[in-house]
Formats: sequence, C-alpha cells, structure tokens
Amino acid sequence: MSDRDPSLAGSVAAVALAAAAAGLVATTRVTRGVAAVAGVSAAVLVCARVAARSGTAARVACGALGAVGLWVAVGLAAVAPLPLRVRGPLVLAVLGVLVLAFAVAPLRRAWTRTLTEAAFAALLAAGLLRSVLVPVPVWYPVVAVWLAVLAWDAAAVATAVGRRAPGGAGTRRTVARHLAASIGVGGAAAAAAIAGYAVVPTVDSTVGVTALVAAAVVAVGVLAVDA
Amino acid sequence: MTRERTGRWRPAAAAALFVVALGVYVADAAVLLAAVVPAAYAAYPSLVRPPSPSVSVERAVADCSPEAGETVAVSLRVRNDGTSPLAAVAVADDAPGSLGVDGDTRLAAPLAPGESATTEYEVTTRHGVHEWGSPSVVVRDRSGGHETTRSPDTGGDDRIECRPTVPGLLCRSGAPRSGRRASDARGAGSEFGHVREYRRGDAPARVDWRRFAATGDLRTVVSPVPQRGTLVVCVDAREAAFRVRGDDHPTAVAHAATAGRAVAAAAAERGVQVGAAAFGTQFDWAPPTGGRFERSPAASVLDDRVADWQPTGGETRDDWRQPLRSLLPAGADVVFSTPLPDGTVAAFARRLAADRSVVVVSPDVTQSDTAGTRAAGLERRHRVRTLRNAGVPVVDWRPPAPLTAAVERSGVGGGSR
Repeated sequence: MSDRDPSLAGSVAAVALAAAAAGLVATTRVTRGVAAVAGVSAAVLVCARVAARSGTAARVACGALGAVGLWVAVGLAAVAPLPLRVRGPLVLAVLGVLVLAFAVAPLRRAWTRTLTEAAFAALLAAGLLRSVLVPVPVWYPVVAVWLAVLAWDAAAVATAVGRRAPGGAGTRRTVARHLAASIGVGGAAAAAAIAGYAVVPTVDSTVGVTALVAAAVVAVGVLAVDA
Repeated sequence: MTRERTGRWRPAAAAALFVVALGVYVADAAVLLAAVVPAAYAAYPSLVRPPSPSVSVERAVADCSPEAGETVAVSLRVRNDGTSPLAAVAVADDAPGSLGVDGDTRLAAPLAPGESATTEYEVTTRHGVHEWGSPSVVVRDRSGGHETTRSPDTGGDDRIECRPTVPGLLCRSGAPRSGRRASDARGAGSEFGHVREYRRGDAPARVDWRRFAATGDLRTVVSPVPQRGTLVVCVDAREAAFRVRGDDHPTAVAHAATAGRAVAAAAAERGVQVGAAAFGTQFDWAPPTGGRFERSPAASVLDDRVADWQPTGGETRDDWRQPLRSLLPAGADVVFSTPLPDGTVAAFARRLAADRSVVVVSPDVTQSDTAGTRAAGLERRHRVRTLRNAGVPVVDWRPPAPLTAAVERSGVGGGSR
C-alpha cells in the first residue's frame, strides 16, 4: 500500500455507500444479486491493499478477483432478462460501483479524482433514471441522490486525507467525523426535501422556472465563491 | 499562514443544477425536490466557519548526538492550543533528506481543544549535522471546504549532530613534554616555578622543607607544566578527492573534513593548540589557537567552510604545498585527512615526516563493483602501505564504520592527558 493512497477506512466507506446506492436501484431478486456481486467484488478489490501486506501474490490475487467480479457484475446487469427501464439504471449503478472501486483502489493515483467524479455521475444518473422510468415513492429520488453524494464525498475525503497522512486511528477518526457531519447535513436536507413535497406536490411552469433560477443562482454562487 | 477554499463541493452544485433541470423537464416534484440534497452540500462550506487554528508542534529526538549508523527515534506531537475543535489536522514533518527515514513522518487527526496527537518514526544517522525544517500543518474545516496551511515554529529538538570521535590524540602532541616555549601553566616538575602556600594533598616531595626548617612556614614548590604542543589538521579538498561511493553518500572530502574535525576536537580538548588548513581549488588556513575548539578559527574551517566547497571541475591549485609548509609552525604536528586519491598528498606527508610528527587519516570511499574501481582501491591500498613503510602512521577509515575503531585498529591513537 502506497503511503499516498486514499485512506483505507474512507475507501471502504465509499464502496459500501456506492453498493448501497446500487442496491437501491435493484428491486428484484436478480438485480439484487447483481448488486451484491458488484458490492462484494468492490470490497475485495479495495481490500487487495490490505492483502498487499501478506505479499505481492496476495495483492494480485485479490485485485484480479475483485476486478473480474466487478466486470462480471456489469456484464450480468447488461444481459439480465429484464426490461430496459430496469436494466439501464442497474448497469449505470454497477458501473458506478466499479469506477469508484477502481478510483480508491487506486488504479492510478492521478486518475482518482476524475474516476471518483465519474462514479458520482453514474450513481446519480442511475438513481434519477430509475426515478423517472419506474414509478417510485417520493423519498426514492431524494435518498438515491443522497447516497450518490455520500459515496462520492467518502471517496473524496479518503483521497484528501490519504494524500496527507497514512492509515491509523487518527486518520480513521478524521474520516469518520467528516462522514458523520456529512450524513447529518445530507439527512437534514433529505428530510427538508421530503417535507417539501407537501408544499410542492406538482411541478407547474411557475415552480419550474423558480426552481431553475434558484438552482442556477446557487450553482453560480458556489462556483464564484470557490473560484 | 495561507487560507483557501478547496472547491471540493463544486460537483454538488453542478449536480443540483442537473437534478433541478431534470425535475422540471419530467415535471416530477419528487425529482425536483431531490435537488435540495446536493444544493445543501454545495452550500455546506458557506455554513461552516473557516478554521483559524492555534496549534503547537513539538519534536523530540531520542539522541541528538548519536553514532553514525544508529537508529534514532523521533516523535512529533501536535497540540490544539485554541478553544475550538479542529475537524481535520494533518501534519507532515520535514525530516532531513540526508537521513534514512523508517516510518511515517505524517499524521492526521481531529483535535479537540487541548488535545494532542503524536507520530513516531525513526531515522538512521549519518556523519554530519542534520537539521529538521518546519513541519507543515494543514487544518480543514468540518466540510472540507476550507483549508489553512501553516508552518509553525517547532519546539524541542531540531537537529542532530553525528560526529565521529577519536580516542585521545593521534600525534605525539598530546604527550606531556618539555619545550622551549614559555608557558603560564604550572604544575609538578623538576623545574622551579614559584612557591605557594601548602595545600592539603600536596606531595611531600614538593614541600619546601628548607623554608619550613628556617621559618616554620609550610610551602609548596610549583613547576611549569610542560608545553602541550601544536597540531595542524590539513584537509584534502582537491578535485581528485571529491569521490563518492554512490548516490546519496557524502563525498570523500566531507568524510575527510569530518575526520579532521574529530581529530582536532580531541586534541583541543587535551590542551593542544589546534590549527587547520584546507587545500583544493582554494587554500584556507586557520592558525593554531588554544581554548575551546568550537570557537576556534580551525573549527570554522573544518565545520563550515570546507563543507561548502563543491567540485568545480576546475584545476586544483598546485601551489598549496609551499604556503602550507611556510605557514606550519615550527615543531607543529600535522594530521592529513585525505582519501589518498593520488600520490601527491602521500608524497608531501612523507617529506614533512622527516622533521615532524605526521599522521594520515584516510576515509576509504572506494568500491569494487567494476575493474576501474577495484584498480582505484588497489592503488589507494598501495599508497597506505607506502606511507606506513615510510614511518607515517595511517588511520584507514571506511565510513560509516566508527572512526574510533579505525584509530584503535591502526594503533596510532590513544595519546591522552
């Protein structure tokens, strides 16, 4: 394990959250099985870093097993005998898990940030696509988006902390506290969003334009402040 | 101290915009409201106050004067001296690049007010003085949106001095002997110096019994202490001497300066007047002086100036021998510290040995991986043998082995008070 790889604790959390996001997309027995294969394979791939302490052969074996398992999961999702509106989001979700696992493994340290953001995009798209294509409860898109953001945040903080400090109790505590605060913020926002459905049950042109303008202002504001 | 926004939540702003657009497009309120989640994350850093950390860093080095090759434990402790908790503190120590580091010099931890965290690592020492730089401390807020970087002053230890020592004197300078030069020091001896009041413990043979018989006054005769002599340490810093065993290894000149310093310090400690000369592309001279070695002109030549010399690829001045010979005080003993890259210094040492005590300390940086390096090693060994056959003692030292052992092996050391 390189001393600048993403922190292991954050990586495991990120993969677990991504697997949870994929599990949310999977609603049938077959799709849940595919999501489980993806989650377990991603965990094996990340844990190859732990196996590296036992020798190169163990690392290679774990890495190969995890990578093959992830690609098998993607293949299974793509050829599953399911309607396209179910299969499409599942393929995206499993791809998201695969890309995130490769990001924090890490496949290549310079690619970590790009891969993490690509995984975020895939998980977000999977949750939203399923929300749009299949009738879902009100909380579904909110929770799907929340899990996608949390998975990306966990991977990003694992990368940031791992670059500056190795593993260890202090690093684990740093990651845990960040994620706890992050879950709190997201949880409050999700609760507010679900509660807001009582106020805005439908989207007419006024609500749509207002929401778009508000979102644009927030986005531009955030980008301007960060610049 | 620098404070900046990390911009790590920017993708959340883009996601919020995308989700709103999708929700409006499909006219689904649930999807539209899902945008609240990424929007909240995008606004998260603005809701958190940027950190203004007050942290102190303290480093503890287990042994600040170790032997070369020893492993020394180092611990770095960072403490939150402020009144607000710090969500993520990352510290990276700036260990000397010249030392091998085992373990991690970095740590990360959240720190409550008054809380501290410690990282421990080990360094493998080498000859020389090695200094730590200021560690960098990066503090992130809870959201990760703000980052403050600073390099605080570090308390505790910040350097180690790994200097070889020699057991006693290499030349006869240290052996008590009488000389022509006057000395203010007094002690026991056959020569009359002055008389002082008897003190408890004075040898009966030193008591002035005649005066005691005549006056009843008990007094002791004090004689001049024999002169301790003068030593000049000459460091070979010619272009030819800038040999190195491999990357990351000190040059032979650095080893020669280190050995010369050890010899000079040991002599000065025993009351010998110590001077220094360094010859190469320049010629540097410090006349012999007494007192503390660290404050002597010789120390500044051996500790500072020679260490700054670098190989220039230019011609070595060939005229160093004449000025050196003219500057050497009459009767001064000479120690040459040279890797013996050629026969020049060896020949000069043999000539000087005709009328004064000369010792050669020779750091060996030769290798045996190629035919050329093996030949260079053989030539050097031949020069050592030639010097010894001519009656010039040679301390054959192979760093990083202890210099003490090399001196003891050569049989030239051990002169003491």
